[in-house]
Order: sequence, then structure tokens, then C-alpha cells
Amino acid sequence: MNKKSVFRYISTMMLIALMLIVSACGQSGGTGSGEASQALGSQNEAEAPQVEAEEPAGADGPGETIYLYGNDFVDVIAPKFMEETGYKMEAVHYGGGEALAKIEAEQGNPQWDVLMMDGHGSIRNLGDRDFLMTGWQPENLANLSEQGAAYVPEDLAYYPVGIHAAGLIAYNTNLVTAEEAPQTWEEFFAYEGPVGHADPAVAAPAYPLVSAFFEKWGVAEAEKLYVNRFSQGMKVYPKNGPVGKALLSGEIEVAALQEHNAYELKLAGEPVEVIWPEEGAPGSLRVVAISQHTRNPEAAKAFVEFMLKPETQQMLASLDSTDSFFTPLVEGVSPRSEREPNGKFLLPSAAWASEHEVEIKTWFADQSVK
Amino acid sequence: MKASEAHYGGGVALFLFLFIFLPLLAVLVNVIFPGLFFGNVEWGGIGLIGEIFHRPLWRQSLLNSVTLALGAATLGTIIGGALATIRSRWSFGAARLLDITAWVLLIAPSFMIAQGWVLFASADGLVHSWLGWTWVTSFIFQPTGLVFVMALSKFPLAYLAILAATEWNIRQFGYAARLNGAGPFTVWRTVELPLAMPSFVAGWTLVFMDTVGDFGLPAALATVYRFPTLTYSIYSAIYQSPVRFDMAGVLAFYLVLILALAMALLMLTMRRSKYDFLNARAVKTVKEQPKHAWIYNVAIALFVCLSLGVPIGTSAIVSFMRHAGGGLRVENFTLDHYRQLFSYTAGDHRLLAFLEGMYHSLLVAAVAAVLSMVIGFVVAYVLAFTQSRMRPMLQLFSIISLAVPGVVLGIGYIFIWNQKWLEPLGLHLYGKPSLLVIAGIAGAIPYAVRVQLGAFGNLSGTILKAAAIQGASVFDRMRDIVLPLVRQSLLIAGLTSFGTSVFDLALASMLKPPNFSLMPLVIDKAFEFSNYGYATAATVVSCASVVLIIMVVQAAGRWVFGRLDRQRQQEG
Repeated sequence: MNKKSVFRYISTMMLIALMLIVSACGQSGGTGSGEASQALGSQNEAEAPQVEAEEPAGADGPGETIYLYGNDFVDVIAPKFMEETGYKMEAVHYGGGEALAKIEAEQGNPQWDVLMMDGHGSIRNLGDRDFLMTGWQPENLANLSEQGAAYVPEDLAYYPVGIHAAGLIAYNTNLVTAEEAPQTWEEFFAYEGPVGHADPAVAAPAYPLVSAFFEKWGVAEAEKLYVNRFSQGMKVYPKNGPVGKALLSGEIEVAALQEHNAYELKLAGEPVEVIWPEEGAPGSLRVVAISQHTRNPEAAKAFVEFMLKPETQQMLASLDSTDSFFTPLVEGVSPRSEREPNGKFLLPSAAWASEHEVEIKTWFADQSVK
Repeated sequence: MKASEAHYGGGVALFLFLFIFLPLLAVLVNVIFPGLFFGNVEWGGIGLIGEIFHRPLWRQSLLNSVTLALGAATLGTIIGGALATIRSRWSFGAARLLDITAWVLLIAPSFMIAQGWVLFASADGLVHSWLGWTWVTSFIFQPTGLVFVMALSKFPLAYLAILAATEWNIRQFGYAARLNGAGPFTVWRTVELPLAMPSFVAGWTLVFMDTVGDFGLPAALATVYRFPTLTYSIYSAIYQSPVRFDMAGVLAFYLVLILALAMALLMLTMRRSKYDFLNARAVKTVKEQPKHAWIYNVAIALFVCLSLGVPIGTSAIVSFMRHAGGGLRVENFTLDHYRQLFSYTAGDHRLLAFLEGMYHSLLVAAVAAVLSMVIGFVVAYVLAFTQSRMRPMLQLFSIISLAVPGVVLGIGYIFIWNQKWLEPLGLHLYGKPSLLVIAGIAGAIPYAVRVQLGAFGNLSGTILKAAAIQGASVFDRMRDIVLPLVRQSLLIAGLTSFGTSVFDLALASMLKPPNFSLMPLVIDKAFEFSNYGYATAATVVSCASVVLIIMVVQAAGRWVFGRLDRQRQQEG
């Protein structure tokens, strides 16, 4: 047997083996995406019956299913969007860092179409590296409030839909009295006792939190404050959920806790009090962006329009969960009454946050292992 | 006939190359050519390899991994060695209990064990809320405490390796030395220690390698205590921001280097310690009845309570508790978590549906088990009975995934299987369940091959040669001679593969398709979002189901094989 035919034989063997594997998995529900949509299909049915495109979606029907990577509202938004527009959408939940990582991993061959997450700095960064569709002006952009319109980037790489506090000062009332509790961020950094917040490498709102401090005081000064803070007792938890838990267990006494989590604890009657510093709370701007390589631009654009509608925003701001704690950026939508009505935000510019992203995150990760 | 053997050898070698070796290679190549797998070839130089010593996080990860593994290996070998010595010298009631504990710990996925310890020892854990012992928390959540936890869960590797070596009584050599005037210490130093050394080194290396490659512990710890290890930093370099694929490759390179060094140490001791002490006068170690057997029984029972009882027991208890920190009151006990487990159908990303995840995991593991059984059979056949030139390569490929941790294979799979040009070929497997099956096979191959090689060892090659001379093809020989003789171990190989791939957290979290839930992810997510009741109930039910499936399939296999034999006898 000569070499050539051995090679041919081996390749045939390989193909057979591969087909075996692929077909074996086929039994478990067709191709991967089929399987996934099937899995989600059953999930959606529980919430809202799939509507058979009563309003025709676009000229050529709904087209390909679009994939939304997001870290908030993923469980409710896709069914609502599909119900209203007839396009097909699969929403996948990722933590902030996870979503960014996934997008990087897939850069050779992106699997996502729309992205909705906290932190305009990271998204700006993606835009600067040509990951995003730019230059398209949604009709509903005109619905934005004055505050919202101010956040729209010139190249239209992303669209702001809401803003909330990436961190408020939350303290355990069993351990800290109202007089002892820090009222400003300077007092938070100087507080004598263990404090904590979420990890900017993992949690979406944590980079907006950290970057606001870095911009407020300047990189060098903020680094000094953090070094000092770490030596006085500072714990970093992957996400805001564990931060809240640590606050309750007394592991930390004061936290820079994301708005939803802080109010969730307070409204549940836990011994937690929330302070919105007068100087402002680090803002977490939630934005929507479209992938430059989307397989269905029409549907992706329809999603952006959908997110900028007052009805959608009102629906999200009235949700039964504390996810509804945000400042809607569309005119005429009323926010939750339990929030601080005139809370100010500290928000670095997108360009600044994007430029310093890798530097700050890397510095922070290194600092917290020391 | 030779040529057709070459086909089988070449076929499986290529298969293992593609699915096990190539991903690993891709990870290492990516260090030197970052961006190669995103479509741009550029020489990155090897300067990156040094960066690990400049960045505190990575330096710390390397340090943590090495100290944890050194500590756990040493303590684990001491524990395993002591237990094995006691077990082989004396006979007492709790000995069987010890063996069962060792096997359960060996099979149980490490993230479950670690979660058990976290629920037990964390600030709002059982020991705190029930006994009020705060010192446990501060003892466990620091490097020495983690060494302790790791040693307690990985000691079985050392225990079993050392126990296997104590089967033969070597005291005769000691007596000879004593007759020649050696004192007890000299006897121990010059006779007993060198003879026992290889098994201790083997045990030490196995614990070391398993600990260094472990992902479960740092993953389970992440919510309560920061302890970055190499495996966890590889994971965070890929799955956290900022993403550093190049550094993930570098970290993986160091991990593989450490594992290779450990393996080299193992080989070296094995080679250097070739004492042929088993001669015609060899006697098996005879177990003695100890004077106070109850002391051994109580001591072993206490140890079992600590090593197995704490992690598994805590999980079991928490699964019945309304609030994990709610204390020991009748009102706090409930079956709600179990009820929720079976009635809940997704809808919230914080709580994945249990039944769906279970179904997916079992299916993926079952397909992987059947395929790895078949592939393992062919690989073992080629290794045992043929002169194929592929044999050295097959040896290497079939052992490599035992040493290469799941996180490393995971990035390799992303690099290789998420390339645009694969899409028109239908081979774009990233984001498809089939990649999970392939990863499952890769993880199971070492076990499948080893178990079957063991069985083939008892088979004489002459029967096969006789059959070949009569004109039986390779396939006929496999089907009619080897298969009937080794089918029992084939089944065991399949079940081992099933058991290892069903709970693989690292590969599941890296390769799962969007919104595709898998058993280990259901547990991990619930744990991450503090739904401890749900997480532990899922742990209990899924472990019980897997054990049950393995037992049922084994019994069914025995029954079917028995029937087949009777049928054949009747026909004959």
C-alpha cells in the first residue's frame, strides 16, 4: 500500500468518525444553534407564547435569529421584542467581563448580533477596534431626553438606553451607626473598617465604578487611595451579589454596592442603609450596540428602535424586580419612586474610560492579590 | 494484513492527534504567534514567557499553584502513606469504609467537594452558625487551610498507589540486614525506605499533578476567598476582562511544564528503582489482628467523617435547609429545594433548569462514553497486539489529556474549532454540543485506554496470530476473539468515561453553546448566586442518579453477557 492511499484511507476514517460524532449529537437536537434555540424556546414558552409574526418583520420576513449578549433584562427582553416585532431573537446572559471575553474569543468569527450592557467605556473600546456598526441613526433616537442625547457618540457606535448607580454607599446598620457611616467617597476610602466592592474584571458595573474614581482623582492619586484602602481592609468580590452577602454577614461593614443590589437589600428589610453621595454616584451607562458582522442588520436595528421606545423603557422601569432601578433616558418615562429622585452621577467620558480600561483593570487585578 | 493494521493505527492516531494533541499545540503556538487563530500571522517573540514574573497576579498564581500542590502532595502522601501502612498491616472493621471513602473522593468532582467545604467553613457556613467556631473560617480560608482541604480530598491517589505496593511482605530483607548487625534505623534507611520509595514518589506525584491541574477548588472559592491559581488565572485570562489569550497560552505553557517535570520525576524514580525483590520466597503480607481494634476503627471513622463527611455531609444537610445560615431548628428543615428542582423550568439566568441540564449532561456523557469506549478499544488493540509504527505516538496522545487540565484543552478547542473557513465545511463545532462530546472523549480516553490495556494484558497474542493465519481480518479478530474476552472491562471503561465527563465544570463553562445548560453549570450558577439549597439538592440528586445509572448498567451488562454465554453453550 503506498503512502497516498494510506493517507486517503486515513482521511476517510477521520471523516466517518467526525460524522459519527456530529450525527450522534444531532440526535440530541439537531445542530448546535437548533439545540440552543430549542432549549430557549421551551424557556420562552413559559413566559410568553411565541407569536407567529403577525406583523411581517421586514420585507423578507424575520430572517435569521439574532443573538443578544447582555447582562441585564435578558430574561424578559427577548420574548417582548419577538412578540412586538416578529423577528427572532435569542438572548444570552453573560456577566460583563464574560460578555467582553466572549466577543474577543469570537473575533475571528463573531456569533453575536446585538450587545446590551453596562459601561460605555468598554463598548467605546470595541467601537474603536471596528467591532461595531457605526453611522446608522435610529428614528427613535429623537425620543432621548436631554441627558440621554448628551451620551450619544458622534460615530453612533452605540446607543444609550439607561443609566444607574454603579455604586452607592451601603452599610450594615447593625455594625455602623448613621453618624459613623461615610457620606462621601473620600470618607468611604478613609473608613476605618473592612469595606468592599465588585471586581472590574468580572462584573459589568464594576469598571464604571472604579473608572469614575480614577477619573475623579486622577490615575496616580486614585492608585494611592486604593493602595491605602487595601491596606486598611478592602475585599473584592466577583459580582455585586456576593458583595451584598458579605455586607449582611458582617465580613465587610460598608460597601460600594450597585444600585439594584443596594435597594434590593434595603427593601427586603435587611439591616442595610443606602447613601447617594451628594457629589454623585459613579454612573453605569447601559448601551446597545450592533455587531459590524451581524447576520441580520434589519432585526438588529429593529431591536435598537425597540429599546428606544418609551413603552419599552416604561415596561423595564416598572418591572417587579430591582432591575427596574435605573434612570430611563427616553423622554416621558417615570423611574421607580423608591430611588433618590435627584441623584447625581459621576461619569467619565467614553473616550477616557476606554483609553484607560486595560491599564486600570490590570492594575486593579494585580493590586487585589497582594 | 499488515496494511490493514496500519489503517487502524493511523486512523486512531490521527483522530487523537486532531482532538487531543492539536488543541494543546494550538495553545502553545499561540504564545509565539498571537493572533494566528484570528487570521493574522505575526511573530510575537518569546519575551511574553517572561512576563509571568512581572505581573503580580500571574506571579502570585504560579506561586499559589506550586505551593498548594507541593503542600497538598506532601500532606496527602503522609496521610495516604500512614493509612495505607495501617490498612496493610492490620485487619479491622473500618478498613472497608476507608477503601470506599478513597474511591468516592477519587470519583467525586473537586468543585463539589470544595463547595461542601465552603458551605461548611465560610463566615455564614454551618460550623459558624451551628457551633459558633469562628476559628474554622480563619483556618480554612488561608493557604495552609487550603493545603489541608486539598490533601484531604486528593490523598486517595497516594493511598491507593502505596497500598498497591504493600501487597508483598519484604520483611525477610530486613531480617537479613538485622542478622548482619544493622540497627532498626539503618534497616529502615537502607532496606525498607528504598523499597517503598517508588510507591511513595508515585503517590506524591499523582497528588501533585492532580492538584496543580485542579480547577474546581479555586472556582468554588471565588465567591468567598481570593486565591488565584494557574488554572483559575488561565480561565480569567480568557473569560474575564481584559482578555489575554496570549497570556492564557503562557500560563498554560507553565502549567504543562510543571506537569511534565512531575511526570519526568515519576518516570525517573520508576526506572531507578528496579529492584527485583519478588523472588521464589516472596510471601504476601499477612494482616494481623491488632490488640485494640476499636482504636483503629474509631480513628478511621473520625478521619472518614472529616475527609468525606464534612464536604458531602454539609452539602446533603444544606439541601434540606430552608436557610443555610438558619440554624438547627425543625422549622428550618424542608424538602422545598427538591420540589423546586423537579418543577422548575428556567426563565431566570440565575437559576438554570435542573432537569434540562441533567438531560444534556447525561446525554453528552453517554455519547462520549460509547465513542471513547470504541476508540479506546481500537487504541488498546493497536498498542497491545500490533507492530504499528504509530504506537509511540498513540501512547503519548492517549495519556496526554490525563495531564493536561480541562481549561487548557478548552482554549485549544476554541482556537481550533471557531475558524471561519470551517463553517462551509459544516465543521464549525464551537458553540455546538458536539464539541462538548469531543471534549468528553478527550478527557475519557486515558481511562478507556488504560482499563482496556489492563484487560488485554491477560490475553495471549498467539490466538490472534492463529486467527490471522486462518484468514480473519483485523475487524474479525477484534469482534470474535478480543471483544468477547474483554467485554466486561470494556463496559467498565465505558462507565468510567461516563463518570468522568458528566461533571466536567471547566470544559462545560468554556465550551457550552449559548443558553445550553449542563449539570455542573446548574450547580455552579446556583452556588454563585447564593442559591445554596438548590445547588446542593442538585448535587445530591445528580450524584445519586449517576451512581445509580452506573450500577444499573453494570448489572444489566452482567445479565446480558450471562445470557449470551448460555445461549452460545446451548447452540454449541
